[in-house]
Amino acid sequence: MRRAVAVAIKEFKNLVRDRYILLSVILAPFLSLIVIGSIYSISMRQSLEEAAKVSASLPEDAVVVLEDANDSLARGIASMLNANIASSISDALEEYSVVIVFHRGFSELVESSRRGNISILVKTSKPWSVIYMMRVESLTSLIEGVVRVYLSKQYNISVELLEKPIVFNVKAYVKGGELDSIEATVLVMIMLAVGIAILILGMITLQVGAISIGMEREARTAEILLALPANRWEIVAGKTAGVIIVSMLAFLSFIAGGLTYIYLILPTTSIEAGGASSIDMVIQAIKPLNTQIASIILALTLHIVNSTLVGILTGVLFAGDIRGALTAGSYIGLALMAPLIPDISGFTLPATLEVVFTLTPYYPPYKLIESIVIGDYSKTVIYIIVIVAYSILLIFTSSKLMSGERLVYGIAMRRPKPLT
Amino acid sequence: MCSEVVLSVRGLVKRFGGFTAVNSVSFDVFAGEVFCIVGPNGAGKTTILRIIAKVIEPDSGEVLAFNGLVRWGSIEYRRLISYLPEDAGVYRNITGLDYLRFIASMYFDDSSSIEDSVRRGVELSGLGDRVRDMAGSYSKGMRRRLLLASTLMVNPRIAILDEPTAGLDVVYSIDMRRVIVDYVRSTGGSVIMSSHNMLEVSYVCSRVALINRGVIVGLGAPGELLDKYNAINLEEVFIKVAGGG
Repeated sequence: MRRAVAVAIKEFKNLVRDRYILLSVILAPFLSLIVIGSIYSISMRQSLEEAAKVSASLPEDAVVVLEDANDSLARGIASMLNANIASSISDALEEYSVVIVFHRGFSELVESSRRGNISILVKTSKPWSVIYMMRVESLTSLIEGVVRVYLSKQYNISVELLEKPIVFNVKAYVKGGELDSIEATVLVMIMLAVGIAILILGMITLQVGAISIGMEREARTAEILLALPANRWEIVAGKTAGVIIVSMLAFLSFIAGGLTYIYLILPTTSIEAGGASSIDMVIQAIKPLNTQIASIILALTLHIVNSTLVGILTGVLFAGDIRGALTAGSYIGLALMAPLIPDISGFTLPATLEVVFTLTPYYPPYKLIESIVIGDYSKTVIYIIVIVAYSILLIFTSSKLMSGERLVYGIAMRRPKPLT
Repeated sequence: MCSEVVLSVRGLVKRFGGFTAVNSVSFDVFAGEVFCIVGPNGAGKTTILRIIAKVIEPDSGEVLAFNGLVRWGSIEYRRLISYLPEDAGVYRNITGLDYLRFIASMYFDDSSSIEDSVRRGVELSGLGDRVRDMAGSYSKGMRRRLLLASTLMVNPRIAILDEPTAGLDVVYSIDMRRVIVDYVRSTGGSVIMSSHNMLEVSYVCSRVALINRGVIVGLGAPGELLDKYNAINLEEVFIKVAGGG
C-alpha cells in the first residue's frame, strides 16, 4: 500500500504540472456549465419575448376554449393572453377566427412534467376551414413561454427555473410527492448538471487515465517502473489514485463553473418574478436537498474512479500508445455513456435492458444518485456493490495486462530485428 | 575473490514471432564483479537484461538468484536488484530530487532509510542544486547521471545497467564508469551491464560474455579472452569469435 501511495504522489505531480493536462482538466469543466447555462438563459429570454409578442398581437377575435373549465393552469394562461373564453370549440369556431384550445387534462400533463395538449386553430374562410392546427410541441416557444410566465406568478419563483419541469420527468425524482415545485425544479436542474458532469468529467478523466499510461511509454520510464519492487496492482492502484486526484480538480472546476453561472451570469440574464432573486430561490431550494447533493457528489466521485480505471485499462490495452488510446478512449467513452441517455431523457427502460446497462461501468454511478434521491435504498446498496466490484475487476484486468512485453514492445509486440 | 554466485542464468530462450532473439543463454554472475554482455546491435543484450530484471518473460529458461534462495521476480528479488534500461527517460514534470525520493520510497519502508538513500543519490548524481529543477530541463548527460544515481543509491546487490554510457560525451562517460567501479569496490555488489564500447569493457568489466545473434560466443575475463584468441584488443576477439574476420 505504501508503494501505491508513492506511485500516486509521483503520478499526481507529473500530471498536474503538465500544462496541457492542467488546461483540459481546469478550463473545459469550468466553462461547460457557464456556456450551457448561458445558452439556456438566452433561449429562455427569447421564448419569453416571443410569448409576449404573441400575447400582444393576438387578434381581436381570438378565443380560448377550455375543455375543462376547472383547469386552473389553463384558466391562468387564458387570462394572461387577455383573450375571450368560450365554452365549446364548435361555438367558438362559429364566431372567432383564431381558437386556442386547452385540452382536458392540460394541468395534469404539465405538472407531471409532460407537455400539455394545446391546439391552435386558425380559420381562414367561411364556411370555416382549419389550415393551421398544431400541438404545443411545435409551438413550444409560444406556449411554454406563456406557461412559464404564468407559473412564475403562480408559484412566485424565477421564470428561468421553470422551463425544464415542463419537459422533463420531474416526478421520477419526486417519489411520493416529497418535494414541492421549487425543490423539484432545482433538483431537475441539478440532475441536468449531473448529466453534463457525467459526460464532461467522464471523458476528461478517461483521457487523463489513458495518458498516464501513455506518458510512461513516451517518456521511456515504463521499464524502470515495471522493474521496481512493487506488485502490478500497486502500480495500477497508485496511478489510478494519482489520476483521480487530478480529476477531482476537474470536478471542483466544474462546480466552480456552476456557481459562477448561478451567482454571476444568471442574475444578469434573468427576469425576476415576485420580487425574489434567482439566487435566493436556488439557495432556498437547495437547502432541503443537502442529502441528495451529498449523494450526487459521492456518486460523481465514484464515476470519476470508474472512468479513471477505464482510461487506464484503455491505456494498457493500447500499450501506452497515447494517440491510439485517446482515439479508442473517445469511442469507448461515448459507448459507455450511451446507456445513460435514455435515463437522463426521462425514458423508463425495460427491466432486462436496465440489468444489461448495469453491467456497463458508467450506468451504476448515475443510477446510484437516482436511487438515493428517490429513496430506493435497496437499489443504492446494489449499485454500490456493483461499482466496487467494477473497480476491483478493472484494477485486476489492467494489472494482468500491464506486462513488460506490452509496454516495452507495444501492442503489436514489435521488436526491432537486426540486419542479417 | 569472486566465489559467491549471486545470479545464475540458465538456458534463456526468447522468441519474437519466428525470430529467436536469445538462444540458450547461460552464465553465472559472481559477487563483487562487473559482468559485461558485449555484442553488436540486435545481438540480444537488452533482451537478456530485461529478462533478468523480470520486465519481460522468457519462452524458456530461468534465473536463479542467490542460489535459489530468492524467487526470481518476487518483490524480495526486485528489492535486491536495480535496473537501468537503455534509453531510459525521466518524468519531465517532477524534480530530480522528487524522482530520487520516489525510487527510494519503492525500495525502503522507513523514512530514515529513504532519506539516506536520497542523500546518496544526490551525491552520486553530481547534479548539485540542479537536482531541485524539473527533470525535463536536464541535458541527456544529466538525465543519465540521475538515472544511474537512482539505480545505485538503493544499494542493490545486483545492478543491471543496459548501455549506461550510450550517447554520452567522453567526460560524462568517464564519470559514469568511475561511479560504477567505485560502487562495486565500496559495496561489494555486482553489476551486469551491456555495452558495445570495447574500451569501456576493458576498463570496467571483470568478465565478459560475447554475444552474437542471441548466442554467447565467448566468455571470460578480458585478459583471458585476449590470450585465448591471440588478439590485441576485445574488438579483434569479437570479430574472430563471431566469424566476422
